[in-house]
Amino acid sequence: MTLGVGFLGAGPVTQAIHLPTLARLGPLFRVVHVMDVDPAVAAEVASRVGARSTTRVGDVLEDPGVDVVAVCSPPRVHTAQVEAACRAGVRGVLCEKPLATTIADAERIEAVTAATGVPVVVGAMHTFDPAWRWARTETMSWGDVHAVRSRIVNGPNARFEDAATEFLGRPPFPRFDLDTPEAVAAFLRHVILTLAIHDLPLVRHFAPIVDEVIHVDAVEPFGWLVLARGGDTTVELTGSKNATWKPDWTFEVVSADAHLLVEFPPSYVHAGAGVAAVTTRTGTRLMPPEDHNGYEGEWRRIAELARGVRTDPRDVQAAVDDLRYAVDLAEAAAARALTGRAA
Amino acid sequence: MASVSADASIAPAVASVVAGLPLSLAWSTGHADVYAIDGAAPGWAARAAAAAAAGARGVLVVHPTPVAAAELDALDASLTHTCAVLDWAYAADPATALLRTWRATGPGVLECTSYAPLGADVDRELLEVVAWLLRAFGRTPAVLTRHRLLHGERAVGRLALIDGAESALLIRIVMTDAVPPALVVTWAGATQRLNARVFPPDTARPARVTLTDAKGDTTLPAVYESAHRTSWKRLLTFSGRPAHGDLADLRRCLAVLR
Ligand SMILES: NC(=O)c1ccc[n+]([C@@H]2O[C@H](COP(=O)([O-])OP(=O)(O)OC[C@H]3O[C@@H](n4cnc5c(N)ncnc54)[C@H](O)[C@@H]3O)[C@@H](O)[C@H]2O)c1
Repeated sequence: MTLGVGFLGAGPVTQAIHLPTLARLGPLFRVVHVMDVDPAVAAEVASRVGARSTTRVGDVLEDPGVDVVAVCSPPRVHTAQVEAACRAGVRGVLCEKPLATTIADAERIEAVTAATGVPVVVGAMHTFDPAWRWARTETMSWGDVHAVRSRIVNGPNARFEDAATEFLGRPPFPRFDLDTPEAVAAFLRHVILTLAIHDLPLVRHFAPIVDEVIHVDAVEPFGWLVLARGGDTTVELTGSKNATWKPDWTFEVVSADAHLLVEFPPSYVHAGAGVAAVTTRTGTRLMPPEDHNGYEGEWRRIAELARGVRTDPRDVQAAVDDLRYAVDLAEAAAARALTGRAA
Repeated sequence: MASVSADASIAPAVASVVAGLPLSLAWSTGHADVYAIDGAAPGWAARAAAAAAAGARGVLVVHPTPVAAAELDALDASLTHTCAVLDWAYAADPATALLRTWRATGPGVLECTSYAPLGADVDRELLEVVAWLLRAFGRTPAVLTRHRLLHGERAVGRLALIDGAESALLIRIVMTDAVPPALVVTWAGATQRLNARVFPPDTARPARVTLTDAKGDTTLPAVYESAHRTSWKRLLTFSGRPAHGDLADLRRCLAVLR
């Protein structure tokens, strides 16, 4: 059975990430309806895939051909759109990260999925990347982990978007002046909830509780550093937007006798899975190469859920808990920036 | 040809350098021209001062560890005809000095991770990282805030790689027996990146230093010379002259650690 897909929001992520991914997945999905507040964007993107277009959310949710709703709008409207999709009784919702921007909103989503039974998957692609799946299994028997680090050095998105699609309607890249504590706090919130959030479910796996944010820093134009601690485990989030050719998106975990390094490809591109390596005294084990990345994985998951092949109620629960973790960390980092003291 | 004597604890490391500089160094049978002092053993500054007082033209301190200011003062005072060279594990690596001509164009995020075995001495590891920063960039952080951990330490602050543009600095002393010791440095600014991986001085395994911009990577030449041998060569060029530069550097680094 081919599942009909309706998009809410048809910006860079829909164009560069999801349409190429769905094309690769073949008959599993067919895009039937594309909604965007910009009618030109909606119409143009819809025409690429032979879908209907609209500027109204209701048109997509009422479309009997839509089985799965993909929420790819700006984060502030995610909650309302996920709620509306669940209430409309679709078979499944794929919501781009972040699921919501506040914990109260995430709890609303938890409630609506519980009430309607509609599965929701968050497009946190690293949690679906074969490199992470491999790493999670490999590290299952590890003793205490004492360091978890996510580093995201990435070029301007356009560089990667242009490698994946041809563009219509690209929004300007947000600029941050970092000359006041308030500005740094806002920047860190933004970075944690839009960038670091990709790795936070992985971080949470090894450091489920963060006791304090010890230190934060930010440098213009777009560099960040967050040092936090949960028990004896440090959590470090670092990175920058960087106009060199070379991205560096790495996730590192260290215990007394084992070391994990995962290298992820940049967002947007379709360059296969990340690469994971576990090193101990006896040597290094590398995961086997995989051609698909987390983008395919998240769509395969929503397909299984929408068809009832898999009924795993923990998807939403985990997504809400992941978001709680991210929001708490973002708030603690912002508080640290404002007061200079741990929150 | 300089005659060499060394603390017994570091004699094997010194022996391999002596074998690698056969026309310049030889083990002494009596009075030694140069003394190699084990900087990891307590009282190294006093032993170095004693060697200078005994007429050594040079003292080489292998892996210096933190020392009290009064001991450094005494050592300084004794160096009227003797040069002192500090043989750092990472900072003495020959590739580190190559970075001195590199220029950052703005601020960035600087991460230095020293992977060290479980139970390593955090003060010594941190001192090594700060010494590396000084040797590589000619600067030390004005303030470093230290956070001691069960298996290591984090130290945070800022380092201006160029005037007026401070980079955010994170120093990680990560203790694990999983990976061999190394110092791994990454810096990312708006338009440049720097990556360095420096290995301990026991072998001539070359550091890997890569400078990146929009056009591609520049990898600095691999130098197949151990940091120990590089330090000895420095000592030989200074020998007999009272060179206090390394001790001044040590004071700068120790000031940051306090
Ligand atoms: N998974 C990833 O790698 C990744 C990468 C970047 C962004 N994202 C996420 O994907 C989502 C979309 O990102 P983007 O960069 O395409 O976003 P964007 O902000 O550029 O906007 C996407 C589109 O949404 C439209 N829009 C605005 N308000 C809308 C509304 N109320 N309803 C429907 N559409 C509306 C805009 O006109 C635009 O075309 C965001 O939630 C973002 O956090 C994911």
